[in-house]
Amino acid sequence: MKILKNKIVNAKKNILDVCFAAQEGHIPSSFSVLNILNVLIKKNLIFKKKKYLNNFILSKGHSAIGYYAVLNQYGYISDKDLKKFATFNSKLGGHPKNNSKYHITASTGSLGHGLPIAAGMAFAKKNKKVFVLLGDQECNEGTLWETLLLCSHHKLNNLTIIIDRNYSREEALSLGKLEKKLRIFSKYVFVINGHNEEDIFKILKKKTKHYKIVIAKTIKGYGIKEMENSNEWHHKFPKDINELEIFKNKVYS
Amino acid sequence: MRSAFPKFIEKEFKRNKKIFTILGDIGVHSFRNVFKKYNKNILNIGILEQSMVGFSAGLAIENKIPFIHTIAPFLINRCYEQIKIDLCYQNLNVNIVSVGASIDYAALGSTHHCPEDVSLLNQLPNISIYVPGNEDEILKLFQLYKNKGPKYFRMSSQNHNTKIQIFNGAGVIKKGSKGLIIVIGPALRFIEKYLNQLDANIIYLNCVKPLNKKILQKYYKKKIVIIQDFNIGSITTEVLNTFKNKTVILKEIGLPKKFFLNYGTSLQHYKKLDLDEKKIFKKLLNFFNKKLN
Repeated sequence: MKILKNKIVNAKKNILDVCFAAQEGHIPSSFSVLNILNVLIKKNLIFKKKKYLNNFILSKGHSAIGYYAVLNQYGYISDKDLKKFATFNSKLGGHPKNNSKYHITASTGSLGHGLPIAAGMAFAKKNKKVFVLLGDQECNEGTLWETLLLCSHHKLNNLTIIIDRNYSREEALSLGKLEKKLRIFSKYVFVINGHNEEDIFKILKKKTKHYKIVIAKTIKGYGIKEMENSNEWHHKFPKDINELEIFKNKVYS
Repeated sequence: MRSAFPKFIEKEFKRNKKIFTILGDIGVHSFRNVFKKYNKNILNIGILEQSMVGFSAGLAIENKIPFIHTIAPFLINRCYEQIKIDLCYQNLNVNIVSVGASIDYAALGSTHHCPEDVSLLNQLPNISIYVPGNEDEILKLFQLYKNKGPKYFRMSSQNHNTKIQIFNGAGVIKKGSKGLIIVIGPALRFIEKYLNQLDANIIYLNCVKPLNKKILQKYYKKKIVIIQDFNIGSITTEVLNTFKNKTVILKEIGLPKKFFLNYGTSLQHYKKLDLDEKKIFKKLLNFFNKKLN
């Protein structure tokens, strides 16, 4: 797995490869958040001098392979480990398990667990910036709204909540005007293009008085037309080598 | 037993600033001194139990030692998945302290009863389960709070008054010939009057997970009785697995799996369920004296 100039394209190709090999992983949900993960890692928001700051929680745990693939682009996870994704003896599963060696702060996969944990961390260490990445449909879970009350009440100003707004299950339970709803909790709600890394970085670096909520508008499956906004591909894999190669050839960043 | 908790926290805060207590809007008044003296280390978080468990996991990740506290069903039933994933799967040092064991809150109805907590938690890896029988015991058990992994301390309003030398969660009350009685936590109150008249090995447990198997194996008898004041069946498998390749004739005394639809006092409930000293004593005599086929 060579590291190409375009880390995003390369990460996407690797995701296709390892998900195909393991017949596991959530490809479109991972593609959705790759730019966000790339900014967090590349811009040293969750790493400093190559050391993980233990301050990031991937609450939408099904994007695990996305996180592993970006870590791999920066040498934080070896090719060998990435290739073993979700296989029997791998430490890198379909959902993350807390593990300091692989820069995983919290075990997630059941939705609605990441934010309360992140809030606890932000509360415990007020001088440490904590980032948590949620899926938009994860916002159906009651713990999000419970914990937003906590974030406001305890002024967890060191916490940044990023919501991957890809409208994946809007038809099941609509979040409606999410921005408006969240503004009731925090004055600092930002809506950005979740595939524009400059915008992502600008907002993540922005100093705010209170905790920040970033609604990152994304396209689920971004990078392969067939997968974009497709419910069918949520937990599906290329059916054979041919299809895999076709996807790998046309994937864009 | 309930008053031991704020007492312990107040004393231990002085020595260990890593401790952080979170109340789910329960027991706030009894912690008033702690709030006055150490308000940076205690929080009445509000009524959001699931988030409270996750929040405590976050504190533990940052090297605090949290104690989380509310009424048993709101902690164990409601937050079962948070306990499983956030605490057990991540194997974090969080101390769960419940109040209102089994049917302590008899008159408040089934929403406030939790006779299944031990059974439920017994299914989860990594967690330790302590069932103290009185204030002295809980104060000693609380000393384990620094140990790795999640721990459950079950505070009951029932007590026993027997002094027992306890090692690794178990103690020998007496030796006898006719059987083995395993009695857990406050349930010892059911038989403490009759200890002299019971001709059996009597082993006391205030830790049911991990189970002190050595002591049970050492005092093995064919006829075994488990006496508990939570659901029957909560620790049966673990007890039976202790006696591999040996014949066991088992009797359990405890709460049945049902909703307790009366109100009143817990004493009235136990009486209605035939869980009173005399009746239990009679049951034990019958069981030990019955001839085996």
